Amino acid sequence: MKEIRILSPQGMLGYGYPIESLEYGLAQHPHAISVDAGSTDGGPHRLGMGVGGVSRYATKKDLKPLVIAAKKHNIPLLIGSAGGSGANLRVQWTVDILKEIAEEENIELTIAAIYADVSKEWLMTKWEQGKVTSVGSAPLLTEQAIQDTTALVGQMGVEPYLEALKEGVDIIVGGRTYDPVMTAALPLFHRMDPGLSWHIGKILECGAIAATPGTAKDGMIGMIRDDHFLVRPLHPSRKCTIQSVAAHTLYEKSHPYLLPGPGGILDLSQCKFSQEDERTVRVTGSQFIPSSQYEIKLEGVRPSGYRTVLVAGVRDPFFIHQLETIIEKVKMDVADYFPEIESSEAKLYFKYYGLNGVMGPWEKTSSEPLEVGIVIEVVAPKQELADSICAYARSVLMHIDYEGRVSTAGNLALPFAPPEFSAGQVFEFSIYHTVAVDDPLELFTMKRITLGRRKP
Amino acid sequence: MSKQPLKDLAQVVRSKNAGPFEITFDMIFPDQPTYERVKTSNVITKETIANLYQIHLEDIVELVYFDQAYAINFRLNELFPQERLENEIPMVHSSTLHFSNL
Repeated sequence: MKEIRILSPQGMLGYGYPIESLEYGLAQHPHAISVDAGSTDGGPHRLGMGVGGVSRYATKKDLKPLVIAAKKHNIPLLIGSAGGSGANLRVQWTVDILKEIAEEENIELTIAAIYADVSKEWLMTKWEQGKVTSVGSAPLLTEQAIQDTTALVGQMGVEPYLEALKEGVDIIVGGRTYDPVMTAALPLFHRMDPGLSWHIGKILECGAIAATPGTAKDGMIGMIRDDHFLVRPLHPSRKCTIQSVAAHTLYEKSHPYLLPGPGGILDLSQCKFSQEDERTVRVTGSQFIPSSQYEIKLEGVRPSGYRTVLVAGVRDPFFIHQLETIIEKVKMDVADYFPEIESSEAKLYFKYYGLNGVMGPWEKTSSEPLEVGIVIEVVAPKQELADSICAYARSVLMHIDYEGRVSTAGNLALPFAPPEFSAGQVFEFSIYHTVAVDDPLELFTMKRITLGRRKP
Repeated sequence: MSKQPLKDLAQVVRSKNAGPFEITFDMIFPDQPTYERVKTSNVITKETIANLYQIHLEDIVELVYFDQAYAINFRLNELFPQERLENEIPMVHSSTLHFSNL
């Protein structure tokens, strides 16, 4: 019986993991280590600004034991969506960290860096050819949206990783990658069942989230065989149950059992989960249905201004009772003062934590709270204007009169000085679309890099 | 059958963004009898959800019963359309599903 074992040490590179978990995993003789380093969950800002969701410090701290283990056991380390957004400069950022590790450890590392930046000209051509489709409820793509886009990546499928595996490198540093790819790559390279390979990738990409207790700060090992696979958490304090693994199958998915990805759909409608031993779950029946047209998902962002934020508390029951009316008055005053608000060039938002700050208009229950946390958010074309509007809105709210007002010394309790925070540039997703391609490799280029000590 | 709160029946009740434009909701039940009871009660429908969230039926993209996982999943397209800043959606975890009586 053929078996491929993949070690997934954590749900996100830079989140941390127990070193004893890694040691347990390595003792199972894995054939590869795979780790996800990116997501769009944090919003469009990371791609826009070229920054990550975790620090360089944490990335290096987590990477070092994985690099040393991969090198020592002569197994590949596959890193996907490098640096958070998986843009070219974040791939380079990751390679730079690996270079430091190679030098500090006095080892040689061969790297396959795979780049995922997409040119706007290429997309424009595809758009003109009618080969672009919106994902879910993303708006239709327009020429303007393409022109305004300042950063654009494509989510690669498994094919670039299969090419990189042929190279026999120590480490693959992938740009933006469909999450299950890093785990599915080696099983697919060895021609294991595609349905099982993609499904094990789906489960392992989040580390130990599919275990109970679940966390992204710990890992799992997956063992894929001819007609089933097994998943088990690395740490003895966790276990996989039918419930925890089935629950993870639904995690952050649009549809619970039809999971589209580059090259096909993973169909889990016939899938079965069973308890193999106390900590291990067996999965069978996962099916991969290849699609007739290969599609790549694109993620692009455009800048939409600069943000300033204020946090203030209110405790006066008269104020809280009239909150909506008061805020309407403040909004009118601010719009009178700033023509940029009147013309919608700048935007002013209020959130009320304690009332419906989390649910917004979806909130059904309402009761008058003891305290309300007010968050004022301004987005304007310039930081200075956003700061000015936010400070003015604060001054209006601080001293505005209302029915039954007795707190004439000011309406707000301000927890911070300065009260406003300049939050910098704001981005929005301008592109969240799939594009039909003839060749799964056509967008992604690979570069072979050697780091650290040269072999004599 | 008497009314019972969802939190007494389900083991997992959660919501999370699925990509930047959708929010997906899961209710996962501990065993087949509990799941079947909820499923056959026909209480969790698009109408129930629309009422709970004060939204239109067409705002609910899909409501799926996933038998193998003893799970019910639905997803909504727009995250607070009038509140959100353009299409910048923060990560949403876990806290936005109503625990109402069924």
